[in-house]
Amino acid sequence: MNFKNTMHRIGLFVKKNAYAHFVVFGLLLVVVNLLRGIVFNNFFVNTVGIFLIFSIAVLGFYVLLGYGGLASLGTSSFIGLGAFLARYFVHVLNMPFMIGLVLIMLIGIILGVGVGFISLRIEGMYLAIITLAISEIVVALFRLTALNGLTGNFNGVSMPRKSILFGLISLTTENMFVVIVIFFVIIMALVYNLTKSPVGRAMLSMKNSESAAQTMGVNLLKYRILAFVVASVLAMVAGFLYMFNQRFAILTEWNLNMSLNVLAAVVIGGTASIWGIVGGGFLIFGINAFLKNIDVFVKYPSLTLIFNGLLMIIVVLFYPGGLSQLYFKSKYYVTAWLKERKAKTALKKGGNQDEVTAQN
Amino acid sequence: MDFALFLQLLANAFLPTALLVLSSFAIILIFKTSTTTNFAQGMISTFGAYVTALFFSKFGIPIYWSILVGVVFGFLVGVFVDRGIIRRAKIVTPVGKQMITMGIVLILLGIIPLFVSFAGDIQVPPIVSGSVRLIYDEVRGYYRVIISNHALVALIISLAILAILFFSLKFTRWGLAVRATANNEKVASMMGINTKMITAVSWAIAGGIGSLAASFLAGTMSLLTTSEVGMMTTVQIQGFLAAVLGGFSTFHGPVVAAFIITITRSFSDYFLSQYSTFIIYGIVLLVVMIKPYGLFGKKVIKKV
Repeated sequence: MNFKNTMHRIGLFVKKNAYAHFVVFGLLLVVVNLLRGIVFNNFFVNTVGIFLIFSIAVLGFYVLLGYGGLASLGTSSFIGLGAFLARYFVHVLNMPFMIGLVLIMLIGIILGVGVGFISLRIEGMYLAIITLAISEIVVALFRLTALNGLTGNFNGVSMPRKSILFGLISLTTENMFVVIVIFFVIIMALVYNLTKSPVGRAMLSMKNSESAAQTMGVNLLKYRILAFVVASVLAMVAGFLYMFNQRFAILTEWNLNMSLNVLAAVVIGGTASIWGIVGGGFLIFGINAFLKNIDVFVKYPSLTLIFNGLLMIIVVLFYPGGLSQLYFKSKYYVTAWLKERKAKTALKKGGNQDEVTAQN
Repeated sequence: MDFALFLQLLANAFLPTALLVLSSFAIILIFKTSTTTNFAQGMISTFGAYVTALFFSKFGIPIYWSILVGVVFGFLVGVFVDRGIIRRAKIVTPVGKQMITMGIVLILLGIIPLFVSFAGDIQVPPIVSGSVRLIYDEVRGYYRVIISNHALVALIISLAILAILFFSLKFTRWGLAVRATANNEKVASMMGINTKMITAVSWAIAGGIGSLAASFLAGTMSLLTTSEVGMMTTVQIQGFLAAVLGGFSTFHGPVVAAFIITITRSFSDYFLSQYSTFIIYGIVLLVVMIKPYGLFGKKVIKKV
């Protein structure tokens, strides 16, 4: 009896607590990893891993666009920088995994502060295109022959799978997936925390009206810089994990399309809920996991792109609030329908009409 | 640097200038009438070039007519994007419109490989072959300046089209309507201007001149295969930069900026080789930091 009671309490806690949702999501993903080769094929699990990695960058962009109201088209170069530096620090300079990660986050903070300062001078569409210019500058830097040791120019760079975490766990494909899931859950919780805090509310006010926010005492410079720091650090962490997972990176991959995909994930997800963002990330980066099991898509791989594009247009056309709007709307309809059904059955049982309405 | 080298470097900028002025005009036209940046500009243009290539290689139509078919195709795609997709949105925000153009990029990225696999080997030839040679060096025995006819004709056609467009913007009823729509769409429509028509025509023109630019670019390539899908990406990115450098508030700003970018680029490519891109974008960044609304821009006053 006592046991049952405890279980019930735990169940209630998990149901009510947002952070517990993230942990449960992470545990489910770990189960998916354990069933690799049994229920899910390797390709499926790997695609989910890639989706999780890019979703980290998407979460950063969610803070930037959804809360800061600032658009950037330079995400891809930050992911690329993270990937190249990860290899350089851990493989070439032989640093431990964690020290490499901390260094990369520090560099992300510095770059984020820089872009944040620029953003105070330039706004809106101009800002988006200027971040595109910054991204082009970074890619041009990658191409310099002086930096061939870092980026390998057009040949790309690869990294052997020798890295060990804490001197205990070797980063095999299976273990790497778990590491990614842990990172993802922690970052999701942190981002959720940020958006629900006074900082998040200040950012939201800045997004809705800068002048009004300023009048209410919100320091624009501080929050803009913070938004860019979060976005760039998370993008670089995503790149870091990408390098360890794929063990190969090439500079042509970090192009405009990649940045646009990150932007698209946030817009499709909708900024109303963090789960919408994860859903949007899955539609953009992870949908292949399902599509590649369908024969037509295997025969013509480019159909996947068409599918993605159509999906994107349909979501933007009919659900401007994104997937989270779709979810809340359908939830509303379902509850309304259930209520109506309940009322009807109550009527059939011979209940008084007034009683039923009173209940409702 | 002697005169011959100067001339040659200027000539190297002909084709990039032809492409960039058309693309940046297309970008600014759509920005002014629809208040969005069209990410699909490059992709729609590329598709136009593939259609041109199909008509030239498979149906044996002369190159000028094939290019015209490609341009008409670009027109139709542009109209379809505006009329068929963007107008049907419930609530359109500028970011929403950007996402729609992004979706179109993905769809075209998917369609072109299928198109190529059905069409087979297709190509766009140079409009005019051969080249103009100037300044004969008697000591070494070769011409110091070689200008490809293709680039020359492409530049002349682009400038002619731009001249017509700017003339119409300034002096025709259509131009007046476009400027009114660009100024304030709501008020313009209240004054009896068919703003929906103006927007659709803008998208059509953008698609058409984009296709023309892509066909010019394809003329320098041997075969159009699936790997040439991204051929207009750099042009498009430079088009955006030109728009920022020149400022989004005037029509001529981006076009002038396009000239500045391509000519500077041609010279820096020669003198700075691999640091060129880095320098050009760095300069654009600096200028925009100093003048946030571009070289020809006006400050927009915000109200709460």
